[in-house]
Amino acid sequence: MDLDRRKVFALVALAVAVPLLFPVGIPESVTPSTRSCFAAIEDLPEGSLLLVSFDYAPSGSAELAPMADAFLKHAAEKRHRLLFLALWPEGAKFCREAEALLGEEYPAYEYGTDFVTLGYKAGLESVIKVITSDLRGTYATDVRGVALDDLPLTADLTDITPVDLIVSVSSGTPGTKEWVQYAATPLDTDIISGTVAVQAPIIAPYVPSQLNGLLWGLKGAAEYETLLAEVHPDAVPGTAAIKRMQPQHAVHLVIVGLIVLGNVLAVRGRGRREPAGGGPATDDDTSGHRLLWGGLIVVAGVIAFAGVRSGGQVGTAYIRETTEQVSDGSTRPAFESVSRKEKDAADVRLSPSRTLGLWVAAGLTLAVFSFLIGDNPAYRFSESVFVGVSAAYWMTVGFWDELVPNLFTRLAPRTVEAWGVGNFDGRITDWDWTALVPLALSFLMLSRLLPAGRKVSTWALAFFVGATAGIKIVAYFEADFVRQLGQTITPLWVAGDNGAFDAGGTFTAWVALFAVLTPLAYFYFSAGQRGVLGRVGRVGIVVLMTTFGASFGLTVMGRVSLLIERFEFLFRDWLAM
Amino acid sequence: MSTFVPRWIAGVTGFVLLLAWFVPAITGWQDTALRWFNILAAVAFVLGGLNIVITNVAGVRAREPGWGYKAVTLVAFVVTLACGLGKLGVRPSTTFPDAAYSGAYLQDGSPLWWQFEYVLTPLISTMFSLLAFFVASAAFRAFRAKGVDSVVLLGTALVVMAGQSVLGGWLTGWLPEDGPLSVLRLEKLREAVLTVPMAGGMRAITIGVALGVVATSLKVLLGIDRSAYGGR
Repeated sequence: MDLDRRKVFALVALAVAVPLLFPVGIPESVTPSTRSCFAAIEDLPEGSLLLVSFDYAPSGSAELAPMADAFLKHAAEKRHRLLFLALWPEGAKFCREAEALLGEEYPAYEYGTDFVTLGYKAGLESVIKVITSDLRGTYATDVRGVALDDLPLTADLTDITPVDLIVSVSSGTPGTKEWVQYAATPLDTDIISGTVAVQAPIIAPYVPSQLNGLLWGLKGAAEYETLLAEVHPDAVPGTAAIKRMQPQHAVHLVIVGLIVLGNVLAVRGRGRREPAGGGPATDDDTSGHRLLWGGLIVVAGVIAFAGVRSGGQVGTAYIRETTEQVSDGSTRPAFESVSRKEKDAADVRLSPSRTLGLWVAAGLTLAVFSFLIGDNPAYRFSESVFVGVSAAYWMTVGFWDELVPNLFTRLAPRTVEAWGVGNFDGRITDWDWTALVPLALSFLMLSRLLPAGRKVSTWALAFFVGATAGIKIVAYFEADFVRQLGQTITPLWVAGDNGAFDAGGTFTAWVALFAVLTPLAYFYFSAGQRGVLGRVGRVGIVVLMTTFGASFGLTVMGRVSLLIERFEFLFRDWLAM
Repeated sequence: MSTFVPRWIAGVTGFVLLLAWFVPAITGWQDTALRWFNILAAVAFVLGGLNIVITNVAGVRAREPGWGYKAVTLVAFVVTLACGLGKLGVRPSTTFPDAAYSGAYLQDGSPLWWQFEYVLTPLISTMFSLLAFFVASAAFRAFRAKGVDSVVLLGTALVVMAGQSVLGGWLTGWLPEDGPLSVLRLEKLREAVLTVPMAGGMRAITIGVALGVVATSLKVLLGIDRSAYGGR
């Protein structure tokens, strides 16, 4: 018996939607890993310096935004000082959101004294490597263009060695792994990480000697929110992750049920041909077109229902008119987004551009979801828009955050200042001839677009490849080989607190050792997998299956988190439900 | 194609950066080289963007199948780039009000901010969220207990999923919270699986990858591996 994949999709959608619309409280028990993370911030003396790196894109924000909020609130409760930066172009947005959170919930926190935003820089892990010895070389100014010398928090900061704790909020590369390899391990600095569940298995081997604590995806974020509310009841409670865990429970039940059902049906139908399954429907699937139209009718019905229920508030966005202080003493009008609950306030009005934005965002979200029914023009359109907008966005970020401050300003500081694009305080007066080298390499790289330039473009590529290889050799050897071997070689006779033999601890130590050695035996290709090596390697395969099975379970949590966030947007932000 | 010059550039650059880990006197060289590296990384975005333009313009001109979508990509690219590079709708920052382009390119309410919030964010998030549906479908169709390996894979996945959901409490919540039997509670079993065998297996992979990275990097720096520059 086969089950139409669209029925599976519908089941998953229902499992997300129903708990979101009709939530029930399910408490989260806090795991030791989350407690370690929490203790790393809690146990630091008040006023310690934390470096928070936002290394993720909106695709990771469903899990990571609640973590980042919880980390920030916790740090602010302890009055720690904060440095924000990002290694991902999209991370610039999350730096701004962190500033906004501190501004709203901790107004006593002062920019420049209590926190500074360094912002995004291109260069992946090399940004980390540079700032371990030369902060100003990459971040001459903060994200506002103010020289680090002029900010009390960073005036004496020449590199990141004085940082007491690195907080990496990461969903991929560069992220936590690179912070461990290039900063925490060589500098012996404490580091904690909040990662998406999909990435957590890659980070797990660094715990505990190279990574003080790890939050495992959305569940880790929910546990942190729970713990923060317990220990710091005065903090404005964060509940985003706790709320998102409820649909998680439902989808997990559905997927476990589907696995069991699939296996039961497979056993019953053994001997019969397996049904063909897989990807989305194709254009020649006429039922797909019917479903597409049916879907549109359903969406129209839901909009109408939500419109009536919310009193015409579907897809509306409001702003509050405020003022902001300018450095010359004057003030100018400004705007800030507010929730629909405040729409009747005197200084609040409907924002046409943001209202249009909500409808565009909802339309694009539904267009991408339409791929579940089958490939169609709406999906292809959204895919084309995605490619164009994302490429242009990355170019923009690279231009303003890297090329202007670190290339053009060094080459022509007076011109850059006169045009009002950089060197705002006029501090840089002389040009830096060494900047001619990256300029030349840049032209060589761009010459790849010309048929005659392909040969010389490899020179720029060679610099790139050589630099990458040069910094990776020691980083990988130290952090991922030597220190990982060190974490493997632990006492195999474990004593408890009172000195007595600890059977559980000893068993765990032996399992941990075999879990490393047996896959390594399987990876040993210099001899045939026969005899003792073959048998040990066979055990290694079983260990690797355990690793991949656990990774699958975590992947489910990660992907479902994103789905929940999109449903939240549709229901709450767009449909006002 | 001659690989002589690129091999030397890669070798000298790489060995300078390698030595800088051990010789503090040349740390400054390392920092300078990495600053250049970061600039080139930003130029790579420019190269990628221009490549998209060239490829899609050619497709539109030739009226290739689906050329309309290529045109959409081009329009989206040009509009976003104009808003971003020109900082359209961005007011000067409050710190440097006299500098025309001192405002943040993602300033609240600016056209680029609007595109990031209402176009890019929903598209990225929704594209990745589609995987949740396909993971569920694959779980039903492909997750079969056919042998020892697949039973271990399946069993571990079920333990982890049950342990991180209410299912764990329903199935094993009756077990004591402390004592030897407590490890059989699914939420504790999940924690044990993640921190011992899974972390161990990943550690083995990490060690293997580290050796591979070191060996490959040395081959590149010594000029043995020339594939990156079109050689063999």
